[in-house]
Order: sequence, then C-alpha cells, then structure tokens
Amino acid sequence: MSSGQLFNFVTIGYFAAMILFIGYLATHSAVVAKLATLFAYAGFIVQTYAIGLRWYETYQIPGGAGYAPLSNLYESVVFFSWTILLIYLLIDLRHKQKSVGAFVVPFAFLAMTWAQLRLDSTISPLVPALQSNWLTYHVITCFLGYAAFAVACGVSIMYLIKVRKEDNPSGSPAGGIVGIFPSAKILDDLNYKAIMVGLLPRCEFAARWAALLRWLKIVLI
Amino acid sequence: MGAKQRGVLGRIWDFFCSLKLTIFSLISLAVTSIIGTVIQQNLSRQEYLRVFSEKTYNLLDQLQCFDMYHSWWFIGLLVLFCINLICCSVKRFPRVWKIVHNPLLTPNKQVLKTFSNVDEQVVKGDIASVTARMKSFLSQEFSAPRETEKAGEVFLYADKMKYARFGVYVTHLSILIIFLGAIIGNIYGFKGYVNIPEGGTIDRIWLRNGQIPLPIDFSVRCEDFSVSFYGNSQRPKEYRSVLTVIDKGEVVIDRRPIVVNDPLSYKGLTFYQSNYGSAGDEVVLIKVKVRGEDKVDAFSLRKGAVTELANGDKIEIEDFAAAFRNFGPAARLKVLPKDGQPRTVTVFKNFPQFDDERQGDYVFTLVDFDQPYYTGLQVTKDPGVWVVWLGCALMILGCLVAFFLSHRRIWVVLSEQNGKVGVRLVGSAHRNQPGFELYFDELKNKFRDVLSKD
Repeated sequence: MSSGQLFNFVTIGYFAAMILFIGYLATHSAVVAKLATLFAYAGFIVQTYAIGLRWYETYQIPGGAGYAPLSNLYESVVFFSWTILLIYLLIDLRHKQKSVGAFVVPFAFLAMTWAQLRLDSTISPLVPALQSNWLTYHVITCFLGYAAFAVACGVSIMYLIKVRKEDNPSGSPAGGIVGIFPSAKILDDLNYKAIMVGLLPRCEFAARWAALLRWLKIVLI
Repeated sequence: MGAKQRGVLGRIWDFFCSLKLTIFSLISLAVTSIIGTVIQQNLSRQEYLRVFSEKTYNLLDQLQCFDMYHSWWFIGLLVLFCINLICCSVKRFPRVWKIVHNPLLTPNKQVLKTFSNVDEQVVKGDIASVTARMKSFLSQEFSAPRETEKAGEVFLYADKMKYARFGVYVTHLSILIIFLGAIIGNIYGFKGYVNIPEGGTIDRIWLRNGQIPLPIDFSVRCEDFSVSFYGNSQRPKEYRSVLTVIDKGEVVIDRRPIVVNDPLSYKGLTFYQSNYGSAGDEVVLIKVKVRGEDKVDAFSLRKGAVTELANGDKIEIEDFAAAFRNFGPAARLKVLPKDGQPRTVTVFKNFPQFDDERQGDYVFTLVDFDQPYYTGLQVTKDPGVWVVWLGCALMILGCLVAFFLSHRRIWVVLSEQNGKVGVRLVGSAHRNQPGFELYFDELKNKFRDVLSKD
C-alpha cells in the first residue's frame, strides 16, 4: 500500500475522531470519548507509519536520491497535521480533558483534507538549492510553530466560551456543553504554553535573518 | 534653570525608554519589511521598468525601495529600535538585579495586597512552633526559606529559578550582538561574483554594482563544470564545479568539487556555486572511415572549424544541435573534396549506422560532444558571521529562559492574633500566571492540610 492511500485512511480516521469528539460534547458519554481518542491514536500511528513510508518511497523513484519528506507544501501540511495530533495527544496524556479534542482535531482533519484533495503529492527529487539539512530543520521548526498556534486557537475558542459562561451562570442550566470543558485556568495555562511553543520557531527565523537573506539569493538561482 | 534642563533630559530619556516607542519601531520594521518581500531587491533598472512605469520607478528609487534593507530609513528604524532596547534594559536592569540578589524579605501589607495568590489561616499554638512547621513545609514542597523578624511578625521567604529574570536581558543582548555581527559584515565584508570558464583561472572578482574588479591575493582555476539531471527528466540534480586554488604559485587546494550547498572557503572568502552558462560552441567528436579501409580517424571539431583528411579532402562542422527534433544530438557536416562539388551529410549520435547506409565514400559517425561551460560563483567575505552565530545561540537560550522559566516567590507571614497565630501564604510568579495559579491552588491545599494537623 502506498503512503498516499494510507494518508487517505488517516484523513478518514481524523474525520471519525472529530465527529466523535463533537458527539462527546453533546452526549457526555465516556464511551464516545474513549472511541474518539482511539481513532485519534490510530490515525496518528498510521500517519507516523505513512510519513516513514513516504520517506522510503523517495528512495524508490527512478533516479531518486531520497530526502526527508518535508520538502514541499503537501509534505509540510501533512507534517503540520501530524504535529497537531502529537501536541493534542500530549495534552490528553497530561490533562485527560477529552473535550479539547473537539476543538483541536478539526484543524488536523482540515489540513489532511486540503493536502489530499488540493495539493500536489508527487514525489519529486530535490533541486540542488534544496539539498540541505537546513530545509528539514526549517520546515520542522516552522510547522511545529504553526501546529502549536492551531492548538492555541482551538483552546482559546474554548476559553472564550468558558469565560462567558462562568461570568454569566444564569444563562443556561448548569453543565451543558461547557460543563465538561476544563477550567478557564487550565485552558489559560495550555494556551500560554502553546503560544510559547509557537513563538520559539519565530526566533529561529529572526536569528537566521541575516544568514537567510544571503541563503535565499543562492536558492533563487 | 538646572531643574528645567534635567526635565528636558528626563523627558528624552523617558521617550527612549517608552514602550510606545518599542511598539512603534517593531510595527514599522514589520510593515516596511513587507516592501522588501513584495518588491524584488537589487534588480537592474531595465528589469524594474518591465514591471513599473518610469514615474513609479523614479519614486520608488528615490525612496530606496529597491535596496530597502540598506536604505537610510530602514537603518534609522533599526538604530531607533536598538537605542530603545538599550535604554529599556539599562532602566530596568538594576531593579531586576535587586529582586534577584536582594529580595524583598519583609513586604509590608500594601505590597502583599497586590499579589492575587493568597491564603490565610488562623491556628492554635505559638509562633515559634508554627514557624518551624512552615519552614519544613516550604523546604519540602518548594525550597528552603529565609527567616526574618520584623515588628513582631515572622517572614519566611523562598524562591525558585530567580535567574530566569535575566533571560530577557540575554535575549536583548543577543539582538544587539546579531546587529553588531551584521555591521561587521557590512563594513569589513563584501559580496561579489565571478564567472570562470572551464580550464580558466581568475585572480579578481566583481562586486555587486561595481565597475572595477577587486583583486584577490590568490587565484582560482575551474577544472570542470557539470550539470546532472534526475533520470531523463529536465529536473536538475546537481551543479558541480571542480576548483583548484593557487596561492603564490603553489596549489593549496587541489580539485575540490563544490555544489550548491557545499561551498569552498579559503582565506576568509567563500565561493558558492551560483549559476552557469555555456562558454562557446560545443566541441564535436567525429570519426571518419574511408569505405573499404579499416583505418578510422577521429577529429574534435568546433562549429565552423575546417579540418583536412588524410587524402586532402576537407570537412567542416556546419551546424550542431544537442537535441535535433526527437533524434538527439545531430551534426551537419560539409564535405569539401579536393575537386568536385561540396556536399552536406547529417550524422546522429543515437543512430551510428545511419551514415553507413548512405553508401558514400566516407562513413562518418558522431561519437560524442562536449559543451564547454563557465561556472558562476558567488564570492562572499563575512567576518561577522561568527558574531551573528553567537547572537543566534544566545537568542535561543535567552528565549527559552525568558518564556519557559519563571521566577516563583513564596512568602509566609506569621503574626500573633489574640493568642492564636495568623498564617498568611502569598505567592507570585513573573511568568505564566495561569500556570502558577494552578500550582498555587495545589500548594494551598497542602498548606491547609499541614496546618490542620496537630
């Protein structure tokens, strides 16, 4: 089976996880939450394997010298969605707050859908300018940052809903969807950490600013 | 009058320390940098005129938008930003130094009120024994406290990761170091280029926008240049030059191959593979066999060159194509017999039998051809690059400390209250307040547990 087919399964897996997480918000059922988490884990494991497989495939094409699959928009977006899941699963292990999944997994699903439907997934060997380890470091730090910002976005939406409900408790009966949200303090803490992780790669960019300007000129031949 | 003068100086000082200036300079830098991204920098006038009208070009040129990273206004913004950074750091550093090395051991009630993480319990017993319990509690849960007595109250102070407060200054310093590295590079370094034909040697390079070549104190020979492609595609795989460096008549670097991301450095100069092009016509290798004889002669010919065969007839390469329609490399030869009419013959590299079937008195074959290239090298000298790298390392270290570590302080204040002991727990963190609140909530529960145990 090719990595492309596996990525399709991953997309379906994240879709199922997303629907189940949203279902959990509505039903508060622990079983639904477990099932959703199961799909998220399964999707993540398959995606990890598929990224590895794509790496292997880069060596198999005619004349292919092989490269880490982080060289074009398609591969970067796939990595972006993988990183979102990685961050989400770490949060899940630490806080066991299943409701966060409903706000974070959709980003991973949308990224995978976009990559699978719209982006060019051809494996094309690297042109000379891109044959550098800097490319790999650059894509990893960049998209780690974007993924952290995506998680921060999801968590912030939850925070805004939560705070509005906490300020205005008479609005709806106790509980409801917001009842299973983590406390505003936890959301705030998660948000702070996610934004910090997101900002750090900017520092890589700023730090290499001078070097980068020179490097870009070499890339643009 | 003296007071008024100090007032003006003070206002100037406040202006350069102000957060408003920081926000202004940061946003201006970000917004103006967009110009450098949208408008391609350092192109020639002709290239700009293809995109812009004469009028727009002149305006943008006046505003130095075509080399904006070196424009007076961009450098001015950077200078403003640096002054702001230095002033802010100078203003705040002494206070932070004091917080770290000379902490507030006995805060008064007003100060304590400003902290939002507070808990207060009243317990039975005498101050000394409760103090001892609180001391061991803090040592166990947080860090060993310092005890101070003031006006009948006992203050316990403990903190963690106090040096995290310096992370900001490390980051500020790193920005200044990076600028310093860039300045060193701009003053003592340069950026130039040089083209060397295969087999050629150079001992001077051309600076960007420079009219006169810059001599370098050694010479570089290009032994070979080649470009390879992936499979049969047009996608380039590698541009490779083989360079030899000759210093004072001695070969110091012999036949070192360089590719795009693997430059050659010698005496502070770095040669990057940058581009390439053809240096003249292809050299075509032709074999000539006289029909009925075994002897074969080989000739290397350029287009237009005429050569004489053994019996006095002459041949000339009239034309050559590396890819003639779908047939691959092909050459058109002109045969000029000693007597008689000249005639033309076409030979193909991929079809060696083709000319044999013509049944002429000569059998020509196109064995191979060689395209002579020149290699285009970018030459840079940047003595500031290690300063920039030092700045980068410091920046990453500083950011990690500044954003991920937090100076946490805990006070326990014990006082006599109608025969009982009032115990107040106060906490503060200089970063990640929500994270600290969660931590303090846990600490508060343990604090209550310890005090309720008798």
